[in-house]
Amino acid sequence: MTTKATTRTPWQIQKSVVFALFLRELKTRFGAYKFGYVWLLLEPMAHILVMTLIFSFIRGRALFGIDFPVFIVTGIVPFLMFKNIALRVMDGVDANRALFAYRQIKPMDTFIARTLLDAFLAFAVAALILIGMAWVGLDVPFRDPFAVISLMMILVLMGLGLGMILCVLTHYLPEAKTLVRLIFLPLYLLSGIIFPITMIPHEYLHLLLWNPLLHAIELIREAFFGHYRVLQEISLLFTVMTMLVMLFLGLAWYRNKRRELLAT
Amino acid sequence: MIELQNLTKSYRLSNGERRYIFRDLNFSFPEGANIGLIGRNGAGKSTLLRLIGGIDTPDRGDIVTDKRISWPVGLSGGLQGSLTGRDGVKFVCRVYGMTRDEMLEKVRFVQDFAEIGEYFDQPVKSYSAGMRARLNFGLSWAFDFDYYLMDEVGAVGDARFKQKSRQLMEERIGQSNVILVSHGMPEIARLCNVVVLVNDGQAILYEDVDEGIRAYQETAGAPQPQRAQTVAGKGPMQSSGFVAPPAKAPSLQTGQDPRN
Repeated sequence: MTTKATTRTPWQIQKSVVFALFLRELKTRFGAYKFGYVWLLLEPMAHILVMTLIFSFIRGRALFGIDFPVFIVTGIVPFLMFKNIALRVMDGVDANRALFAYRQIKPMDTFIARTLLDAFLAFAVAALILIGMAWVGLDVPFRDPFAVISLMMILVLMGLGLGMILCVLTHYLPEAKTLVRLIFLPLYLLSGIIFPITMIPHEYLHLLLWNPLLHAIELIREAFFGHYRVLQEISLLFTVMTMLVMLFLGLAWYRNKRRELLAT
Repeated sequence: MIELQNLTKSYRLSNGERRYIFRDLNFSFPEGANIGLIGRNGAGKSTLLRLIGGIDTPDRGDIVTDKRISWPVGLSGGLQGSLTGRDGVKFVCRVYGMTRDEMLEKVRFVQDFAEIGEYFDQPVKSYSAGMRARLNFGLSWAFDFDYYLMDEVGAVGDARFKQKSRQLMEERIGQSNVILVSHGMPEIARLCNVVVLVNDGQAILYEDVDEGIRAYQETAGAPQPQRAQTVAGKGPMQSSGFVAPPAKAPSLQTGQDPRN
């Protein structure tokens, strides 16, 4: 055909594919409901608010001069974002298998689209909840927005890296999927979301400190509250290095096995 | 140009062994021709089509091309149960990086072609198989490609829709080319300029369609039934070695199973 011999650059192709996938995911996830887009934000908000209410009730309202609901939110939002990204990316290939019939769409695009969507949702939910909390009179300091957002970005990339590792792993070992989901349950408790890490007996602490999520969440709180005291063992370097290693391993393994991931 | 370079493709069987469909296959498809891929069941025609379409990936080797190649015509990849038909069409348009105007044009084309009325804006899971197929064919023909990949010419729907479908297909074939996998020899003879016989991991090009079909019928006739016959009654049977290839489509427009 004579019309437009358009050869798009790889970058242009990837951009349009990721955009298309992003919209598709968004619609698929909540398009079926009447107030889908409201529900999209309400669901995680409800989860967070219920958890916050329960734990605030158990623990009382304030802690080190920090309003407890705000404390919980600063832990639970990053944790859920990380978990959602990792698990969604893990399922990215299986859930979109039919789409790879379009030669432009590669597994990497589904990874990126899913990561972007869940990151975007977490930011929107966090903003709404924090505004709501400030509005009802809780103390929402948000001291160092730049640091908080940077740390969140680190978690986004770490989730992507872990998700890719899990995606390739579960391609060869589908049984592992259930196990992975189960592991996130204790991780919830071991990441210092509902209680500050300083309350943990010292002899177990060194074990918990292998958990990069704990480091990231503590750092986020430090940046968020300003006067929040973190242990000296909490390390930005460790968090960033874990992120880089996971991302590297995920990318390398995916790159190495990408043909097998698609082969039927 | 579509070129297969050292193409190797295998599948793992359930007992852990590997079965090789192609091993270091080198082949160059002729330029500007409608190509029929023929061969026995399991010879690897559909696999080859999927490899060319980029749906399946080879173990080793490459498929080099500078042409725009479609996804297999009628494939339902872009549609998803909870999304509407319109969403599905828009999604594929976005993947192809279309502008808003182009997208609206394609959406209109598919809507007109599929003739599924208000179902176009209903979730795909509420469609009948026929409606789904209409939408998929419309979607495939809506895009301009240099090569359309077809795994059996699965015309769907009622007589009028079949007619319309075939008309559009032949119009498209006039402008572009097809690579057609089929067991229906009349169809191959009608639509293709050359045939490629896939047999024993090899691809053989026949510039003369009739000659290719004859060669196919020799390979296709060769296994169990034919062998028994030739042993039984050599003399009189020889001329009818020309009988039906297996699973030949009963008429021109059937042979629906697109996944074959």
